[in-house]
Amino acid sequence: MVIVGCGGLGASVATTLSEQGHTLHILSTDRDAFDRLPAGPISDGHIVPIIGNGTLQSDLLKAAVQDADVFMSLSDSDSENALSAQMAKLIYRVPLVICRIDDPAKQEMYNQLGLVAVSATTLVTNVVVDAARA
Amino acid sequence: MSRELVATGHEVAVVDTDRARCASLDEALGSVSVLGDGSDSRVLAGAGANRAEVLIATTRSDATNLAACQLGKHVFGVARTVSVVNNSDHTELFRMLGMDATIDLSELVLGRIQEALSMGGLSHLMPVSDVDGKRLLSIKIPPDSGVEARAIKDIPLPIGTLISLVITRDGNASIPGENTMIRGGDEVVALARAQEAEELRDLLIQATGA
Repeated sequence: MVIVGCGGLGASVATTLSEQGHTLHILSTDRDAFDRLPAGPISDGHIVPIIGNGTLQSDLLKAAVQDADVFMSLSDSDSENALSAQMAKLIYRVPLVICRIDDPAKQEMYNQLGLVAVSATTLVTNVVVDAARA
Repeated sequence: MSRELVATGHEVAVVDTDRARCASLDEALGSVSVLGDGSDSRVLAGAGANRAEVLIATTRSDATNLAACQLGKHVFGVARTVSVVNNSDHTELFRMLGMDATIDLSELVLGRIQEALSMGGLSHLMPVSDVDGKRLLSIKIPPDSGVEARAIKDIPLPIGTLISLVITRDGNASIPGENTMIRGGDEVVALARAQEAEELRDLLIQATGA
């Protein structure tokens, strides 16, 4: 698995997946962002942090994108997430590509284009609206 | 570019995140600017993207350019999308995703530098076919080229390439026949796919005996 972006969401997803026994590479341009990751899975090799830009082929290859079966771009930039995700899908043929797209209009478009586009805004909105109705 | 388009009677809206640039553009061309991020669907809607025939993305961010073009194409139904590509890593992807034309900045700059250094540079003039990626190229023949004074029919051109125009060093342009001689200093305009372009250049610029 490959994760691009090690902000709150990227780090949280990486932590949870590593606890479930998955091994993953996580890319971030910001070395300090890796402080969000738990130390244990890094030292036993379940999480491999890589300093790099998820929109560059050379950095994606460092994260072994060509061998990944799941690719997730979870940075806070919709546009960079969409670019990384489409590189993963079309150039490296990763079977499952998930990307974070916070703008609902774009979320719908990327879903139609074959990505799994998830929006924290939409998800939280739904939860809050459901809670308010209850 | 906006100035050129306005002068030729086109209706233009320019989206930019920089307030000062928008203001100076408006001063020069009338109110053409829309302040905001071109990868934001609301901003594009405000700029009238649903009425646009062409969307041109020229920011320094390939991610922004791609998002703007994809929104233009899929959300606003813009017929033609053109994008600058800042990093060659993304050229192929942009084509695969249906951008109608891509302008590869590094390729363009490299071509110009090679031209300036008379390295027998390869300049990409324009894409011709979206289907098989054929493009028009210009190749300057160096004086010591291995093809110097050879007729086109005797040059083993890569399959699928077509020499369309030969411009001699004194500026005479002609559509070449199979007996046309290529000489040092000529500029050759050819049609080739991306993967054959380099091969063609190497063939035309390599020194005798190389």
